[in-house]
Amino acid sequence: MKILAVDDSPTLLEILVCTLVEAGHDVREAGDGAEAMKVLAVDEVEMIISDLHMAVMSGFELLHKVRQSPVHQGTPFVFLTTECDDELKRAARHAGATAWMVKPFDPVSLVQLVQRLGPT
Amino acid sequence: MDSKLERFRTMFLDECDEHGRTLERTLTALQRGARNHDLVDDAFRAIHSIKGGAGMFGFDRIVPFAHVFETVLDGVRAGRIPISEELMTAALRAADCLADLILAAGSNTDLAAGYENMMLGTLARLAGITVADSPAGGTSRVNATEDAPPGEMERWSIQFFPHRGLLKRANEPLFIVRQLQELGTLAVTADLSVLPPFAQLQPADAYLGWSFELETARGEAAIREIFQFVEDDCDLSITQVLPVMAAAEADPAAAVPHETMAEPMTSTIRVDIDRIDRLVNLAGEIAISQALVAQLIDQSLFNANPRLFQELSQLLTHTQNLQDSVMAIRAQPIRTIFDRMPRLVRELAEQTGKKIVLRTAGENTEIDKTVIEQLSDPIMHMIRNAAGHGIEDSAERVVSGKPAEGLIHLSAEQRGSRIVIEIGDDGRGIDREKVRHKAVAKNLISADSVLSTEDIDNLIFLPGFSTADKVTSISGRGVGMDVVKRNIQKLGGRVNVRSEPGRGSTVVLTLPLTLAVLEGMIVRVAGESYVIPIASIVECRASWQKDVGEVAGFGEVLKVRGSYVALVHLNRVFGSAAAACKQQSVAIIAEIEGGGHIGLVVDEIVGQQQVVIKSITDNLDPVAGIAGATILGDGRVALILDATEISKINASRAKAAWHSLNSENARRNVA
Amino acid sequence: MIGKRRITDYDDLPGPIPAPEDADVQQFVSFIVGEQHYCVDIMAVREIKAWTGTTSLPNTQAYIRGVINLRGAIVPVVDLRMRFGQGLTAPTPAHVVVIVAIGEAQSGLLVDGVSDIVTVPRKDIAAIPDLEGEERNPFFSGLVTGQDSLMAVLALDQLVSQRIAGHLSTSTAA
Repeated sequence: MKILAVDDSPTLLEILVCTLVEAGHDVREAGDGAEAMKVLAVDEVEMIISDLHMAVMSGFELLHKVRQSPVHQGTPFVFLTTECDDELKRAARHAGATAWMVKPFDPVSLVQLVQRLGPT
Repeated sequence: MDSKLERFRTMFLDECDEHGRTLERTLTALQRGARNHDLVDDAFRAIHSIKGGAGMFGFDRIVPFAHVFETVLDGVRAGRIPISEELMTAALRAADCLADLILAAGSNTDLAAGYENMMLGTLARLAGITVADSPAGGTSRVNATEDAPPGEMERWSIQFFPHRGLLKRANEPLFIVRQLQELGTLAVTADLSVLPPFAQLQPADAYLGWSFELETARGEAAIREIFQFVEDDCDLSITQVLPVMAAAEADPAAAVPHETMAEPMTSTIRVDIDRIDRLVNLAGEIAISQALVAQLIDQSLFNANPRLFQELSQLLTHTQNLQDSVMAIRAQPIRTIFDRMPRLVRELAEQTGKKIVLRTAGENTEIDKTVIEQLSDPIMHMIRNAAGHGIEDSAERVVSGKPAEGLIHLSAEQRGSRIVIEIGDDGRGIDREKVRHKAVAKNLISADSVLSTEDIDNLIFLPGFSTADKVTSISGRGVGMDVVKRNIQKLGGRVNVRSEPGRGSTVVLTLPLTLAVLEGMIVRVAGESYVIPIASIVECRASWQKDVGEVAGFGEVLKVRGSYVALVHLNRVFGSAAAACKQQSVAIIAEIEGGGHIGLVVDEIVGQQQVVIKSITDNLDPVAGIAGATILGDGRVALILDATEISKINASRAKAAWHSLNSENARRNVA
Repeated sequence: MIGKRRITDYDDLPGPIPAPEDADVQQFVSFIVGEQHYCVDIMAVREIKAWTGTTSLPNTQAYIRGVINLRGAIVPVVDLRMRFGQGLTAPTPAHVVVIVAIGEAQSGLLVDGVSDIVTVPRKDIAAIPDLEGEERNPFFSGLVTGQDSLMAVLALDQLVSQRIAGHLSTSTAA
């Protein structure tokens, strides 16, 4: 599956990308929302996994823009959140997020989650 | 920690360094009075990233601390906690504490238990939370399907009616159905009651609902898990269990983060340092080859082919640009060192009870990575000196009409092919009387020597010199300016100090841009060329013969400004032992480690140029007296001399000769 | 008898020499020092250069004539004649420096001339005979027997090692 991973922590992004690639997915990456939009403009992806707290363009804004784009309107959007961000979870779902992954995450769970949300 | 994540550890620790720098920058600005929202955001995000990553790697002490810290910044961000200088000072100390925790985690050492607790308490108080509110430890809470131990087969009746907008979140009911199927035996009935006539159908809306009868031994939790992401978007009932609907109380909308302008992220690539070294080498080679080619082409060739000159000039320009670009790859901004200094100054201020402020300039000045690593200690040492000896305490300062706060100023600047770093203070300056006195008392200079003020100031670089009346933990024990000078000289640089009594002192370090290149004096000895590093040359004397003396048991010496230095005829070292001295030979006085000097007699001085340093130890065991080699424009190898070692060899030979002479005499006397 | 063809001024040996059908052979480059033929495993030979002088090194063994610039690397040149205890060579442009790889390092061997590349069946490579009571010559690792000649195979790692003591090495320079 073609997946876009977005996180402004280079380490976390690297972990995301490596985990997904090793699970056999085709992964694009971006360090913030603006970069992510650039990638989405030229590549159609089947899932987006993104952190919320980012510079330049936050995860929220990215989500908002994604839900407005004709190509990726219906693309599953998974956001990364730390445990206590209940308010954030709510707001994100309100904004159109599909699911969430709690940080710190277990790479195996991530792969499973991706599998659940994507076509078999 | 998951072994799979091990390989990312170093990357994360590097990233934490970067976040540490961001915190330093933003919190300091906020402490000084800046009220820019972006600063708070940047600080928040830095801590957030640290927290997130630390959790991944199991750094259990960092997560709770970072969490409280993050909560404080979040409160500031949202306007709940007002910004104050006091708060930011605490925040800065917290950032220092966090840095320590990260360092400990990274090096697998343990800080004393409770190290961070006091800071944690202060932060918690400021954030208005009790420490118990923070989440326990850093163990990951995982969204995986917990494989519930297969229990008894149970029957569940599940009503699932998606709300209109469920599809808009890209949740796919089909996948949900498939997952339910995996749990056990599933019977499905669709509910079409809400389905509108085709003409009114909105394709993106969800109209269908389902009733499921599921037989499974996996338990309710497994079923719930499947619906966890769509809970809010549907009517869901799983019978025989109390519905645990996601609490749907209206909460005040979460503060939507601002769009912030942060530093543009530059794209980078990680490269093995060996590859870069090879590239630097090759660039040097190209420069040498090109010089050779230029030499070989004589005028007649140019006349025959006028374009040749043009193209050759182009080649020379391109080569120079290539070299510059390649050298720049290894260059790093000196900021990496400068960034550590504010914390040092904070600690020194606290330790000495003085008020000290640090101003930095030129953090972006770039310098070769290998040089930077060696600079950190000398710079820290000098800042310690400034704080310990230079800056007076506030009372004294006010009395002399100075601001109560002492200023330490750290700057870096590129001037031509050198980098100039200055560490200055506006303190009491060097006490020249005291310095001179000390130097005489320690026999470093003679009581009647005539010295300029500058000479006196630079006496502090002599080995064995220290004006501290007592050794304090601040300036350290015996690590004097002479060690600093020696280390800088090893890098091919120079150190100087200038001072104004009552106004302050400034230490100036001058360094070459890169270690791979050396400013050298080319000399001829016994028909071959050698290189002497300019940085260690004090003087060149054409007519030195009249100042030569002979010291029994030591050899020849040369009188230089009132004292004597050992004299070595290089043509006897490199040529034949009995070589005669040439008429127009020159004596080069060079500094050696330990503060002394040596006189090296060469046949002639050819010139001065920048040379690319080549190692001779790749293919050969080290040779005494030789520091390396270079390739001159004519393609020949020229050896780079090590004055200190030559001096040692000379001394030991003289000693040996003296002993053998003595034992010879002893034998004769006995006989 | 191995031909006395002199090979000079190659920068590289002619490309990979096709291995002969018979895998039980080893290839050597043979050269002359004084009146004797010696050889060295071809796999160790990097280049053959004409003598163009060296930059002398102080404080090293007399058999190390100095260093040369080999395309940017500083490479020492060992005077084999001196190394074998037969005195210093008086080099001319006709003399040859064989650049060999010894482990990770490179060294140059100053010889009177390079003769040939020989392919020797393994059965013709003998070990150095153990002479009773005498110290084993450390420089050679074997002997190649030809129709009517005997060639010693150089043990390269022993040549430049400065730990060689014994009556065949020369005194260190003061």
